[in-house]
Amino acid sequence: MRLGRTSLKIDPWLVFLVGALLVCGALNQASATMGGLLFKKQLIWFGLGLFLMGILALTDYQRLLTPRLIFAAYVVLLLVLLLLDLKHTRWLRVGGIGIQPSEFAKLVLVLVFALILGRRDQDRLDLRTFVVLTAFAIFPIALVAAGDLDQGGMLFLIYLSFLFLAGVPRRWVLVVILVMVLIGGLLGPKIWALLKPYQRARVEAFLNPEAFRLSRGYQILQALIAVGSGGLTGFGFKEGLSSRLNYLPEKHTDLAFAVWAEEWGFVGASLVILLFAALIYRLLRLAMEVREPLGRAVLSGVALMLFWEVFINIGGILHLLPVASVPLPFLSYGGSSVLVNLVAIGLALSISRRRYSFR
Amino acid sequence: MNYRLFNTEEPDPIERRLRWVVFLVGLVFFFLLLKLFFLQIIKGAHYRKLARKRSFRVFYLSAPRGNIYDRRGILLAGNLPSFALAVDPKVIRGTQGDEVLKRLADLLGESFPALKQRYLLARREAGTNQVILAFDLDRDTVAKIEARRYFLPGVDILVEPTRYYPFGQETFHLVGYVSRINAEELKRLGPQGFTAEDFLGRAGLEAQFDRRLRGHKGRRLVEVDASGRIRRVVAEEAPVMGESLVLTVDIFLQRLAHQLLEGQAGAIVVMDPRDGRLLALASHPGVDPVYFVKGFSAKEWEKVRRDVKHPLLNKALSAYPPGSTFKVVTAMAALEKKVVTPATTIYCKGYYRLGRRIFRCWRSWGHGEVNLVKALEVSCDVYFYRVGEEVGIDYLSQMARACGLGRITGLGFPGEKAGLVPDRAWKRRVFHEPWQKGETLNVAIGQGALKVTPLQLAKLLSAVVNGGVLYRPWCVIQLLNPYGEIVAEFNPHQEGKLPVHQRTLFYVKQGLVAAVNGKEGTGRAARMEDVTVGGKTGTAQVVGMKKRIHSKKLPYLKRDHAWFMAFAPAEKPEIVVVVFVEHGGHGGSAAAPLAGQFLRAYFKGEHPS
Repeated sequence: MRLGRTSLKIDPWLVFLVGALLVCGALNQASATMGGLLFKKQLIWFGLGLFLMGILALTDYQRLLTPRLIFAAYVVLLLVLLLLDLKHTRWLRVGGIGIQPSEFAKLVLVLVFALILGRRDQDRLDLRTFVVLTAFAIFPIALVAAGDLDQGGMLFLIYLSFLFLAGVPRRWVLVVILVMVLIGGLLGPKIWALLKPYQRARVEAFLNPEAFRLSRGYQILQALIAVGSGGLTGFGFKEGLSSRLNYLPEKHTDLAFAVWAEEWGFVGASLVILLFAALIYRLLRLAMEVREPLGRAVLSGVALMLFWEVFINIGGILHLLPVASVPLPFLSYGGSSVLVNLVAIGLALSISRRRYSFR
Repeated sequence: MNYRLFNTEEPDPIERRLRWVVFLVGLVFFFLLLKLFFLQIIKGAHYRKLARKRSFRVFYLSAPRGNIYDRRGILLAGNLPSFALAVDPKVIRGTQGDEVLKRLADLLGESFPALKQRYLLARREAGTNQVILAFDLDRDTVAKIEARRYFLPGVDILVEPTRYYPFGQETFHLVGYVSRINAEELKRLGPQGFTAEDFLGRAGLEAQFDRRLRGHKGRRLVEVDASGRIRRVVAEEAPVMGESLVLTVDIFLQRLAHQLLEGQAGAIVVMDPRDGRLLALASHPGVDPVYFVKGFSAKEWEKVRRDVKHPLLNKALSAYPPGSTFKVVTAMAALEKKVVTPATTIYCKGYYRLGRRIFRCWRSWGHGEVNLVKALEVSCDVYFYRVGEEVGIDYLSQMARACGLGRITGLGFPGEKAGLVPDRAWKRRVFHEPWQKGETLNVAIGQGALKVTPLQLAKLLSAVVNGGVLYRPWCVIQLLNPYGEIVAEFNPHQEGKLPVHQRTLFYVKQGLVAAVNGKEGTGRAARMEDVTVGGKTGTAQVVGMKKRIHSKKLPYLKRDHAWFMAFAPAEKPEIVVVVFVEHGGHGGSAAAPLAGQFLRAYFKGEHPS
């Protein structure tokens, strides 16, 4: 049964918001990479990602997202992650192109969770669902975290988000928080001692960047200077003082937003934040409208995945959170990140086209 | 089939949770925007300042000092370019800094620990400015460093104008010298824009005209990237060269004076009596000022410091007992107070008795009957004991002061001595004792506590021979800007007139001419055949002795000072020469010949090469 063909329209809001963010991203990479080889590569990734997004948008997601395919992707992901962990690397090299499977893990995990969530009838999280979700989550999270703690953390946040969507009883949440506080209070020093030096340094640097300005606090301090010195209107395209003179480390990846904020000022930086907010809001709005459980879960998952990426990255640069090495969607350099995010948007578009249709 | 579709009023649980998500996400984004606003708008200026402080450096560009020329335009002090090695202390730190220093040590051929220690010491003084590690690099080293610039972040080669003095020690006391600012001065002058690499004028004209000579520093604002390499010059303000001095001094006469004093310690002051301009101001020995510019080695410095001839002391501006040269003042006082007339004679029997004390004439068998002119000619002590006693210390000291003694001449050099004219008030103030009459006698022949500088004598003699006008000595006639245009001109300055009649001056001058040309004249060694020279010898006792012993037999530091002051031509004086030879012995034999040689060379137009 189908209700009218108009509902098959591509959602213009999503397209517009993603397009605007891609334009910002292209401009930012043109500046951060000095318009060099990396900039051209990033444009190719944009093109490829948009192509995949278009195809996915035109495909019927229900035919695509079959349990068989999702589980196949899941198994392949686990194998690749295992392989990389054994080789102690984060990168999968395929014909001269480096792929970061931890990025793909986010999307795969969203799809797996969505599948599980969409297949059950209960309104509240029952023990069985919890066990299944956890069982599926624990392997990729452990495998990713072994090589890249930050990305592992991202996966964990996505897992928590799905627990919330599945309806964790409030009592559980309270109990978990209480237990965490207790563990933290009692075992805090021991955990602190167990942390690796670079992890400790990151927390210390977050608490007091000035004291470690030449070592651990360097990155956060330079990021703050870059953002703050942008002022209202910024230094202008390719004119950022911190970026141009290489004071910003990782300026085309982790600190891409600092470059943007420095060159375009509060006007440009708040525009990007508002674009992200609008994009996530639009995805959540669509998720509310969509009644089909799988589609709704995928949309919510994509929205939350984007949200965590944006929050962790920008929050770190603005010194609200410790700095974590995660890319900012569309603005940071990175083929895997671009592809995953655009594919996710493609799926969202496909789902949104069919939000009023029924099986 | 989803039945919930038909139950839209009541949001299902997932939708409820999604609403929560929207709310929480909105809240987070609100905080992100808030923090962004705080960082960029509220603290924007603060971070912009930090960014500038981090990425911009100001380098000062030294301005070349103004040149100093003699009256013919011959360069006495100028600048040569030299290369200095500077490093940025903000970049040279930690292990990366050590790497750079190691490479530099290799290039300079030094050991790394030595260079590092030098760097650490220099950095303490330089603060946040550039640290200069080496001066006077040769071109090979400069080329090597420039070629490896990329591997030496934070390293810079500065082209600095360096002071040089073509005539070395011969202009040392006149022109002075410059040397690098020290830590204490830097603390004091730092706020005025001085940096550790700056030179300050230390003596002579370099010190007196330091402000005019110094010029204005240029500034260069550069962008420095994270690894300390200079990326771009943002702004540059060119340095402005200081003003140049044109002197009245003639470098040929200045050199001649130095050559005459070769091997001895002393001073020669040459003045034009018609307006007080200096033609030479020599003090021997001097030091080659280049040592001050480049720095002394400990050994060299020790040698200079321990030299009994005191090369650092400008003897032309230092005070010594004038000996018989002071008799000119006593003679004027006597005539003015009408104690004697020019015709009055006094009998010299070789000594003069005052109460129970015997005051000896330098010629133990006496001069016989002497009048004023004769007394000046033979430098008879008894004559001046007698008139000195009658004039009294009050009038005598008053006359001495009116002649410009006992105060600085106004030349303007730092460190000039005022000398000393003793009188009753001075005695009471310093010794808390009343004045003794015998002291008047000593002062009358230029001994005792009396002290004058060679420059004061030149000023005094000029006044005596030019008709009584006291000119302030001066040696700078013009200031030129870097384009060679005159920005200031100096004129002779009349300080006052001697309180004496022309008649008095006439007789005194006659006595001075007789002292050089008379049969028994003490200054015959300064005589010339075609030009009439006038002058007065002086032999100043350094140590009081009962019997006169020939100076040559005494240890150097106890020998008498030898003086001679001369003017020529006597009819229309155009040059005054004061020769002072420290511990030189007798004025007539040690100083007068030098004055004679000088005048002969001057009037023949002979110039030393």
